[in-house]
Amino acid sequence: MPERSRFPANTKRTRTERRLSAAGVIVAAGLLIQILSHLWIHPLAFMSFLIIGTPLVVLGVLLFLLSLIWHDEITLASSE
Amino acid sequence: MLSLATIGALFTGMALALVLLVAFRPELTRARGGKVFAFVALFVFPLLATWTGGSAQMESSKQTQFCLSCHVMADHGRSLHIDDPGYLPAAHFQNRRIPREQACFTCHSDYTYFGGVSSKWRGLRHVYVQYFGAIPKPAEIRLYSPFPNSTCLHCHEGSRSFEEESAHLRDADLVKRLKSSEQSCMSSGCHDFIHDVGNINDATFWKETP
Ligand code: HEC
Ligand code: HEC
Repeated sequence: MPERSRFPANTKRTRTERRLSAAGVIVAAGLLIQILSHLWIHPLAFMSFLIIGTPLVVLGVLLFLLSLIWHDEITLASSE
Repeated sequence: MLSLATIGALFTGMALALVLLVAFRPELTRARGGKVFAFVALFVFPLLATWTGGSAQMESSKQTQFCLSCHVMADHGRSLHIDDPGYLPAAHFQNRRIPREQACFTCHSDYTYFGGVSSKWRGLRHVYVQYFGAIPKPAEIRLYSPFPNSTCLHCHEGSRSFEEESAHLRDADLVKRLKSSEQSCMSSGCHDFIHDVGNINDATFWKETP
C-alpha cells in the first residue's frame, strides 16, 4: 500500500475525519471567542470567556478525544 | 510591555491557526506525524491557550477600569479623586498607597486563602444584578457583608503608624479589639469617610497629572 499521508484532500473523508473536523470547528469557535474577549476589558468580555468561549473549547476537546475512542475500522485499516 | 491579555490573545491566535488547519484538512491525520499534530492542535494548545487566557482574564478583572465599566460604579470611581485626605480610598489612591490600576480590587478582596475566589464569586453576583436585577442607586449600594478589618490589617498590622498611633492607644484595648474585629476600623468617629457617594456632588476633585 502506498504512503497514504501524501494523498490529496479530495480522497473521501472517513467518519473519524469528519468527527475530527467537527471537533476542530467547535474548538476554533471557542478560541475565536476567547481571543475577542481578550481585546476588551469589561465584565461582559470576562463572562463571554467564562460561559461561551471556554465551554466550547472544552466541548470540542472532548469530542476530539471521543473521536479517538470511536475510531472506526475503515480508518484503522487505512491508517496502518 | 506586552500585557498578559496580549500574550493570551497572541497565543490563542496561534492555537486557533493550528486547529483550523486540522478542521479543514483532517486528511493530515492519515500520517503518523499528522496524528501527533492533531493531538497537539486539538488538545494541548487549546487547553494551554485557555489556561493562559484564563489567567489573563483574572488579571484584567482586577483593573480599576474593569470595576468602573458599569455606569452604576462611576461615583465610587470619582470618590478616588476627592480632594480631601480624610476620605480613605482617596487618600490611599492619590498617594499611591495602593496600586492605582488595581485600586478597587486591592481593598475589596479579602486576603484569605480563598479570598480571590470568593471575590470573583461576589463579582459574578454583581454582573447578575447589573444585567438581570434591579440596579440600586449608587448611594444605596451596600456591601454584602461588612467590610472586614483584616483587609486593612493585611497592610497595616505591625506597622508603626498603626500600632503606635495615638488615637489607637487612647483606649487601652482598642488595638486588640480592632485586631479581633470586635470593633470596625470604619466605626463612626474613626475612619468613617469612605466613598460617601451620596454627597459626592458637593466634593471638589483632585486632577491626576498624567
Ligand atoms: C482604601 C480602600 C478602598 C478602596 C481603594 C476602595 N474602596 Fe470601596 N469601600 C471601602 C470600605 C472600607 C467600604 C465600606 C464602607 C462602609 O462600611 O461603610 C467600601 C464600600 C464600597 C461599596 C459599598 C457602598 C458604599 O459606598 O459603602 C462599594 C460599591 C465600593 N466600595 C466600591 C468601590 C470601587 C468601585 C472602588 C474603586 C473605584 C473602591 N470601592 C475602592 C474601601 C475602599
Ligand atoms: C494595600 C495596602 C493597604 C490597605 C489594604 C489599606 N491601607 Fe491604609 N495605608 C496603606 C499605606 C501604604 C499607607 C501609608 C503609610 C502609613 O501611613 O502607614 C496607608 C495609610 C493609611 C492611613 C493614614 C492616612 C493618612 O492620610 O495619613 C489610614 C488612616 C489608613 N491607611 C487606614 C486604612 C483603613 C481603615 C484600611 C481598610 C479599609 C486601609 N487603610 C487599607 C496601605 C493600605
